[in-house]
Amino acid sequence: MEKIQYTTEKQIEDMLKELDAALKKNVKGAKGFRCWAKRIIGMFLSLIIVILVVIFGLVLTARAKGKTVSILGYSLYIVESGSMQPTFNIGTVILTKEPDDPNNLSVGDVVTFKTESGATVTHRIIEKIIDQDGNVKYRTKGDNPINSPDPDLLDPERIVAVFVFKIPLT
Amino acid sequence: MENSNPANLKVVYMDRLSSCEIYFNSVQYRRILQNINLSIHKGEVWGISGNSLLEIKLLLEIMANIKPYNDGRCVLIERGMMRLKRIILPHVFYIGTANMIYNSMNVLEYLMFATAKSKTDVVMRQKQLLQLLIDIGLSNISLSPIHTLPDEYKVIIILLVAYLSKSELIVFNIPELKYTSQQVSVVKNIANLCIESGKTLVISTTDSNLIEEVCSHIAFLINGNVAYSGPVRDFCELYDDTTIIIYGNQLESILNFLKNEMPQYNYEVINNQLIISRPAFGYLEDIKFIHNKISQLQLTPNQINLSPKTVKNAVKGILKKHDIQG
Repeated sequence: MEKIQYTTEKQIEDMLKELDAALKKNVKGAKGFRCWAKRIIGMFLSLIIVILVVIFGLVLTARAKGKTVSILGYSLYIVESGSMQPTFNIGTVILTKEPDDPNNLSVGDVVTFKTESGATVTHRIIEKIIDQDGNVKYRTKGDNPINSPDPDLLDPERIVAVFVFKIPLT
Repeated sequence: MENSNPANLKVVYMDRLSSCEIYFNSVQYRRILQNINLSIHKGEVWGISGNSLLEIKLLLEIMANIKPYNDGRCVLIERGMMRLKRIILPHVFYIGTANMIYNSMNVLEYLMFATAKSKTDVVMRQKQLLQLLIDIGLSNISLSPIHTLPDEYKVIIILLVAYLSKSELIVFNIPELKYTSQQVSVVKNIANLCIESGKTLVISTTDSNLIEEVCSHIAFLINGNVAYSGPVRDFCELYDDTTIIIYGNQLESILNFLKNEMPQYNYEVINNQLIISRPAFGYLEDIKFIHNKISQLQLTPNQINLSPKTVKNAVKGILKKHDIQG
């Protein structure tokens, strides 16, 4: 058995002084900063949650009324079919934007358009076709591998919006 | 359950419990613990003692759910324990060895490690813990490397960690250790903190001084049965027969005279003290009576004292009553 190394009064005094000094420093600097950083992060996270809840509310309300939520040219849609899986699962909320020039879109862009029967569909452009007169048409297809290309070519006039990003956690 | 008042919560309830372990010789066997009835309430500090370390250690192991029991019922904090399940429950802090502690740290560092989940500022926590060590009387080892400390100090530090934990029941099961009076005083301070915070502490020990200083209640096991369970004060009243001590030089003469005159008393001479006892003493009447008798002998003892009731004497008394050598 080793000899017990007792703690002396001097060691305790020194330790207490050291702790007091560190406490004073803490109060002035690090602690205040940490406290503020925590508050800001907390507020930021709360804000994101509130925004997500509002978005959901707006989309669901608009959907119930058969309308689309649209602010400053940006619109929200809920994906209702599996034609774009695995890119968009059913239920995903996507943010889209009105195209600046519907004639000037590229292969690979995801677009939301009205079909000839009036339904709203979001598919990817897989081919850009320009005829002899210079008119542009697009061939579209859902990302789901079981899908074949859409039978009708897409006129730029029928393009409602271009995909920007999907809302996370939806 | 009959107790709905949280202050009167039964933390440990054993009903006709018997152990799986048995004593066996070639002729017969008996269970090491049999027919144990024990009821421990919230905020109490119990000393579990007895004539066998094995029995008291086993009882606390069953209480902490480390070992299964054969028969009866054991309820911890009003939640039943499965008879054969061997895990320490989250609301129980079991201290069964001094090796639970990290030897590479000093005492304050270890407490910081044990309370690492606390949300208190690190520097503030360190200061509070150092102050706590000073307040309970452990300043002399507060910054000492743990590997230099004897087991008694190590388990006391673990007991302090148990107090700092959220566990409602602390089972302190190392009866083989012997504590100095300074260490007993520290254990007493920690026990008081446990009581204040509503924790229940159960200590297995054969150290009468520890029980007297620290515990509010005692359970005394003899041959696998609970011979007594209840408040320490009542235990002393019931079993400590020693009430009169005579100090002097002519004790032999006084002893012979008193033995003839008053055979109803028990006499014992230890270290220049004549200890006179009788069950159910009448205190002042008895001392007056004995003093008169000694006066007749014309011998003057140095001092006649009424002895305070002690756990040590009560333990002797209960062992004597059960015809067991102390």
